[in-house]
Amino acid sequence: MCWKGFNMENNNMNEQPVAGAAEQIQTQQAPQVQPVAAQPQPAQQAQPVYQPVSNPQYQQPYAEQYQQPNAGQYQQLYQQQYQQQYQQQYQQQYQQQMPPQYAAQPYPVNQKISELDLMSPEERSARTKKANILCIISLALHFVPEMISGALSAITEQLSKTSDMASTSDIMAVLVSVIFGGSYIASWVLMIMARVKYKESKFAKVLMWIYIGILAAGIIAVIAVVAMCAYILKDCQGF
Amino acid sequence: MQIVIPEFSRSPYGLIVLLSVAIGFAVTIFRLRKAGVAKQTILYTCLLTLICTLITSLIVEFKLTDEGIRLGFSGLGAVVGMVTGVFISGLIIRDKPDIIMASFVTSAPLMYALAKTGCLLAGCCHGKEYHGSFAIVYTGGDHQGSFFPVQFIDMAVFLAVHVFALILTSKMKNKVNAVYIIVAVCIPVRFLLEYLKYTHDGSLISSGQILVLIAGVLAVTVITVWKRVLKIK
Repeated sequence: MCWKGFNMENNNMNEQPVAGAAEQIQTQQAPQVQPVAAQPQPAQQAQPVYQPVSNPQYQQPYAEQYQQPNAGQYQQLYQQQYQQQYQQQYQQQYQQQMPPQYAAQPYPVNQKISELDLMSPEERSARTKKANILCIISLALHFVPEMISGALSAITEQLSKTSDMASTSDIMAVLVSVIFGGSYIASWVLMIMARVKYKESKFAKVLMWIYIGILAAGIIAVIAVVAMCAYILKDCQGF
Repeated sequence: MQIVIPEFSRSPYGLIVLLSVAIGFAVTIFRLRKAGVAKQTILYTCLLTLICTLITSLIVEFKLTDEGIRLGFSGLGAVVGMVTGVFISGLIIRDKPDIIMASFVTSAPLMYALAKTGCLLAGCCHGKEYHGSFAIVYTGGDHQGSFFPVQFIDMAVFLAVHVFALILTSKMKNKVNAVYIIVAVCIPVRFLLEYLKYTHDGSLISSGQILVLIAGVLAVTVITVWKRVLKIK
């Protein structure tokens, strides 16, 4: 009896919080139940010790209503109402504390730090100067021979008229072609050097696209001239 | 059976040469992408090599005549220009230079073979006089007559060399050795085919064959210097 009485007392002591919790659960709104949902452990542990369930009217509805079917629903509601709210509050606080240029991306995890970011402004300006010098030399090599081509061809023509030796004009022609071709190749080489060594240089990038555009336009012009000549000659055959 | 080539009001030679260069570069780009070379490297290498190829081939064929300046394409000049372009871009970029050189040298016979279509239609580089089967007959222009179909043989042989080069570069791990072997095959083939052309005067070595040897030696020299400078084993 003594053991039984002790057990009964213990039983009652264990049961009281569970029953009280069940009453609270029934009166509260659904989202607020979530913290209580973690408490059914004592009731379940008490079951094997006490075969006759003292208050089945509380345990049964509690188990049916709150434990099994609606656990996921309450978790979603909890996340929607509390977690999102906390996240918004945190972001607002963070944006208020941080300067505006950093507030857009609070966690730049995937952003790689390049060598350029580690350089001082002096080093950057020195790099820009070097890139600009390369680009200006390249520009000069690309366009100056074309500008003076008229003068060079006039000299070559004059030489071929005045000189009795055909070899003089031939040598001049070869020289002109080598100078023109060499400077054209050198202009491309310098531009690509600027692009590879100073990737941040916008001058080099613009120069590259100008050169590509001129080259493409030249090739298209040659094709168009060939096609036009063929068309005109075809029309003129009858005359 | 004879193949008759009509006279064109304007020769499609230049257009076909440009197209063959474009196809050759496209094949090279495809192979480089497959080998995992970076896009930026491919872009800069191709730009520089294209410029060097076109300019060098034009310089070699630059002629000043009574009618004015005449320009033409030279296959030998193009090969030297291509190797030089790859060499210069390798010095600047230094990203997988052996794979890049092997890819370009592999595409060179393809470009040459395709460009021979232009020669066939234009009538240049034709063979000696021949009236048998498969003779090429030009009905007009500067090259009237019936000739040996050396352009077809050129095309077939260099396409075979291209296929051989493709297999070689894909099988061999040492790309530099593959490059040397391809050049060592191309020079004798080109040298021997010169015997069939109308420009060959019947002597043991013609001026055209001397040019082939000079271009070959230049190409091998540039490749050796490139290998030493970039310290490629």
